[in-house]
Order: sequence, then C-alpha cells, then structure tokens
Amino acid sequence: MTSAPGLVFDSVEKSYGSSRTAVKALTRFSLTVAEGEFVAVLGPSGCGKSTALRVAAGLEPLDSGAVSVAGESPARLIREGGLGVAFQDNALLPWLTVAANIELPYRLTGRPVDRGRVAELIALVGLSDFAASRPSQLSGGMRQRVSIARSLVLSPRVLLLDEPFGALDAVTRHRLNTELARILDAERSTTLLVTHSVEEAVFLADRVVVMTGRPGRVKLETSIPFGRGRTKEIQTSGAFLAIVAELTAALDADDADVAA
Amino acid sequence: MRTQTLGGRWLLPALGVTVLLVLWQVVGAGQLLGRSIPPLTEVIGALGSRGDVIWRATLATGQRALLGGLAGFALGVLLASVTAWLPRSTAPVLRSAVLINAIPVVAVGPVLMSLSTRPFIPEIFAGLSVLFSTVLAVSDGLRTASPSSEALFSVYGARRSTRFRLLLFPSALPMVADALRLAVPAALLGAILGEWFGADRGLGVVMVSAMRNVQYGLLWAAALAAIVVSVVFYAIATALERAASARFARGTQAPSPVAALRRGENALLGLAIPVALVLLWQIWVWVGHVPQIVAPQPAGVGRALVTDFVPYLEAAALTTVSALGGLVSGAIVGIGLAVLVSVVPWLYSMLSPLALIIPTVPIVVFIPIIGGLLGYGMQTVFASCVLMAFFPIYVLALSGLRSRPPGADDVFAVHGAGRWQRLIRLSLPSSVPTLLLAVRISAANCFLIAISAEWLMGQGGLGRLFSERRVVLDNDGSWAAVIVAVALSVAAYVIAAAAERRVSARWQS
Repeated sequence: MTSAPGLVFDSVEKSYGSSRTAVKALTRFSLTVAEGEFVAVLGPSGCGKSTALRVAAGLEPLDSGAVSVAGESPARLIREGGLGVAFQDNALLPWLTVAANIELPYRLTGRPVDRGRVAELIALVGLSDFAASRPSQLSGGMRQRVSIARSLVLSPRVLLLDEPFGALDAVTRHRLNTELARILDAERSTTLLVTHSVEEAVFLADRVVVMTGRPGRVKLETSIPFGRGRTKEIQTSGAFLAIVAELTAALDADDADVAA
Repeated sequence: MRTQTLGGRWLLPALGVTVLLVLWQVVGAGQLLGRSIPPLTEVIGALGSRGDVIWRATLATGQRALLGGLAGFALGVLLASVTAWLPRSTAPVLRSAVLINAIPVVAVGPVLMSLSTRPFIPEIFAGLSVLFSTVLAVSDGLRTASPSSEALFSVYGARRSTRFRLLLFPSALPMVADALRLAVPAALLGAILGEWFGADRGLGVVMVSAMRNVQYGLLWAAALAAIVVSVVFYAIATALERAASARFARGTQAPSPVAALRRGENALLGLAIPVALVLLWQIWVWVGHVPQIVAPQPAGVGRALVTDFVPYLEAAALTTVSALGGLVSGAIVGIGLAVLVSVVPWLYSMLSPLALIIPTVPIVVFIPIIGGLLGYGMQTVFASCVLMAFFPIYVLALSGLRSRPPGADDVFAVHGAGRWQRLIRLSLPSSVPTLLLAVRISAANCFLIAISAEWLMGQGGLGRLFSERRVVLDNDGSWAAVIVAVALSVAAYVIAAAAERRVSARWQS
C-alpha cells in the first residue's frame, strides 16, 4: 500500500435544507484514501455515507472543511476526466446501446472514442454478446455491469461506487462482487465504495471504515489482511468471518446508541 | 447557498405575469397588431360596462359544461368499466372511442339541430368532447392494479364484482381524477362550440356576436371569462386528483398492455367497427323514418363521394395542409420555446404560470380572436391549428425535457458535461416519448380544429365544403365531407400512434 494521498476528506461539514430546518449529514468527517487504495465505507441507513461520496464527486457543495484529490479539487479532477462513478440506480440511458452507454464519458469529456478500450471493457464485464443490446433487454445484474464498465472506461484516477449492487438479489450480488474484485485487480484506481453490506465491504476493500449514525462521523477503521487477487473461497475462512463479526457488532452498537 | 426563499419562488413568476400583461397593454394601446388586440384596460372596461351580460353568459355556459361534462364523464367511466369486466372488449371499445372522437362535433351539430335535441346541443357537445379522454384514461387506470394484488384476489377465489369493487376501481381512482381534470377544458370547449350553433345566450354566443360586430373588448372579455371558469373547475378537479392520489396511493405501476389481438383479428376489427357504425346509421334511418333533410342514407353519401370526388379531394388537401402544417409549425414553436426555457432558468420561472394555465384553456376561444386578427380565410384556420398543436406540445415538451433517467444528471455532472451537452445528449432524447405522446394527442385534434375553424372562418377546406353543401340542402354532399374528415382524422391518429409505439419501445428502461 502506498502512502501518497489519493482522496482526502478534511473535517467536512455538510447539512441539507434551509438554516432553520437543517439536517446535518456529515460532521467533522475526515478520511484519507491512499493512492491506489480501496476503502469501503459502512454505516447505518441515512448516516451520510452517500453524502460523503457525492461531496467527493463534486455533486454537492460542502459547508466547511475540504475535499481534495491528489491535492486538487474535485472540480479540477472532473475537468481532467479523472473521475469514475457508479450508482445504485444504474443511470444508463435507455435509448443507447450497451456500447454507446459505455462510450458516453468520452463524448461528455470531448475526447475521441477509443473503441478498442470500449471493447476491452465490454469483454472484461462479460457482455461481449450484448454490445448492441439496449438496457431494457438486459437483466438488473447485466445493467449494473454496464454501469461499472462505464465508470472505468476513462481509467479514472478515482473511482466512486455508491451501493453499486444495492438493488440486486443476494446471489447476483455475490457473483458480481467476485467479478468486481477481478475487474478492479485489472483496473487499479483509488476507490471509495459506499455500502451497507458488511461482507461486500470486507471482501472488496483494503480498509473498511464504519460510520456513526447521523450526523456521520468516522467511528472505526479496520485494515483487511487479505491481499489482492481474492477469490470467493476466502469468504468462508475464519479470518474473514471474524472481521465480518467484529464490524457487524460495531454497526449494531451504533443502533443501540441511536436507540438510547 | 442556493436556498429558495419565498420571495425567490414567487418573484420571477409574478414578474413574468406582469411583463406579459404590460406587453399586452402596450400592443393593445399602441394598436401594434391592429384594433383586434384591445389593450388590457379596454377588456377590463368591457368586463365592467357589460358585466351583467358576461355574468349571465358565464353562468349559462358554466352550467351547460358542468351538466354535459359530468354526463359524458359518467358515460366514459361506465364504458371503461365494461373493459375491466370483460378484458376482451378493451380493444373494440377503445377503437370505437377513437373513431367516435374523430367525428367533428361541428358536423354532428346540424343533425342534432333538426331533432328534438336542439336545445341541448351545448350539453351534448360538452359530453361528447369529454367522452374520449375519459374512456382512455379510466380504462388505463383500471389496468394499473399490481400483478401481485391480482394474484392475491385469485388465490382467495374473489368474484369479479369483488375484484372490481375492492381492487380495480380503487387503484384506478387517481387516473379517474386525472380524467376529470382533462375533462374540464374539453367540456367548456364542447359547450362553447355548441353555443355557436345558435343557443340564445352563453359565452360562445357573446364571442361570435362580438367578433361580427367588431366589439373586440367584449370578445376578449368573454374569452377571459371562459378561461377563468375553466381555471376554477380545473382547480377543483386538481384538488380531487391530489386527494385521490394521496388516499389511493398512485402507484408507479404502468397500465398492463391491452390484451393483444391476433393479426387477423386486428384487421377484422379495424374493418368491423366502421362497418357496424355505418350499419347502425342505416338502421336508424330506416327504422326511425329519418327524412333526407335530417340524415341521408349511407348509399347516397357514398354516391356523392364517388361521382363528384374532385372537390372533396381539393378540400381534403387544403384541410390536410392546414392541419398538418399547423401541427408541424406548432410543434417547432412549442419544442423550441420549451428548449429555450429549459436552458434559461429565470425564463422558466417567469413563464411557469403560462405552463400552468395552458392545460386549462378551452382552445376554441382563440378561433374568434384569431379570426378578428387575421380575418376570414385559410390563414385563420392555419393559425388556429398552430395554436392547437403548440399548447399541448409546449407543456408536454417541458415535462419531457425534465423527465430524465434517475442518476443520469449525476453521471453528466461527474464528467463535466456543459449545458448544451446535457440538452443534446440527455434532455432532448429523454423527452422523445413525451413528445410523441403530444404529437399523437394533437394529430387528430388538429383536423378537428381545422374543420371547426374552416366552418366558422374559412374560405375552403372540408369544413367550408360541409357548410356550403348544407346551405343548398345537399345533405348527401355535406355528410360526404364529414366522412372524409373522419377518415383523415382517424388516419392521422393511427399513424401517430403507430410511430409512438415503434419509437417508444426503444426508450423503455
């Protein structure tokens, strides 16, 4: 793991709504994702973990604090085409084919389309036979693969994944997690994953961060002792299950805090 | 911070209304477009000095629209309910509704005038205008129950009546309320058109006599009164719609598709419905001993068409040019303005009251106004069609441009897409299904408006031919013009619907 700063949140404060009815989403939120590192953020629903990701993507202005990517602002990164995102709702354009959806970032950033790269990614996510299909002809899992391929097509320096498999059934989710681990081994980016699945976080990430309930703050950080090149076998290992149990307990404790 | 304060939310729309009113005053006072656009103050003056006339007319028209509209609405709900009880009847009922909707009401007028129905023409027109959209919307609504609820009712062996009472009808209520809202301007449109056939009082009567007597202040005041009535009824219907949506949880469930017909059945039905209608017409003439002066026999009308087809062809061509030309021009202006407004946020806010008012306006009130502005002739017919197409297309284009796939805006933001890229790659493609819906709605209506305008103000076309033949008591000839108009209007609707189906399939997410 390198220690060069990739993505840095420095005591970010963010609230929604007008001053009187403001809801605080993030408070004193600090987190550093090193260059090339994969960090997963876990937390109860509504803890502000998606807000953190949207702030990093430059989609939300922040009240105070700072977010930087390799010392630059998210806006600067956006201008350089250095950002990739995938959301829970796959956000595919229904009138475009799979290939055209994956090409979209080239067109939006005004670059020439690299067809070789597009074909390579379509193959990587296993959709070579569906390049000319439209999203409505694909299953939910296949659409999510298209969305992942689109997020990777520009080889972004920073990849942001917001519950990318949240809308899928457990079996599909499991299979796509294994695939994502393989894909991200091939496509190294500084990655921030937001999820509510403990197994998903532990299986994919180098480091897992647990957040408190609203307003969100970092509560616990755990390094995952598995290297890259993970296969689904590790999910039944004792070490894996122990970490999952520890993190699940941390999340439960947070629920007790909220209830108290 | 981009917090919207109360002032910020109301300021621009209020400013927009003010600018429009001032512009109206300036154009009117300076007579920039001639005397036919009177200044606002003159219209207010007419409202004051002729207040009693307008008030009585408004009450009469409002009452007729309410009575006829509610009757047509009830009949529409009843017909749609039949499709829920007997799903196989859905396709024939909807097709018949399309065909009946294509009969121009101005052509029904003379028939009704020669029967005992004469005093109720405005009510009957109001009911007829409401019927079509009601059958369509309610029948769709009755098909929005979720499949799992349907399964639940089947598992418990619920009877048809129970299923209808406890599941289908409640889940249709939000769309029933929608239909009621659509019915408001339609009912007023029908009532006003009906009054043009010679009611003793009413806003339609006031408008036509004011136009002929060059009393433009009174004409505009009457049109304004019609719009106010429409807005009031529309507001009531909107409140009902809100209540129904909240109480009966308007779902995201799209209506299940109409039971598909086999290819042969489809063609057979397309033939059978018109044949059945012609047969009914023939039986009515025979059984009721209907004199030629009221209604001719189908064979006579057919003869008139065949032996003397050149004037019909010419008239049909002229009407088609007005209707389709108006549709295309109205679409260009409507889409253009919607695009402009969607990229200029302050303009959007300023014109937002316009988008709210437009769906409530009974469009026929503009025919005499345009007539006053442009005089008798094709230009008035064309302009009426442009306006007819512009209104729904502008409003639907606005909503279409904003109905983007969830999350797509974020994807565009993350890649630093600019305003124009968002417009061309996201908003415009997103709006295609809504635009096609708008075109389908306008396609048939453009012909109806063209014929109404030709009948009232034109110097050619099917509407004119119809009234010319009628004046010389050539009833075969006048009905032949109506038959051609119905055929054109149905063809426009069918072509637009087919295009919509074909393109929309691609847009499904």
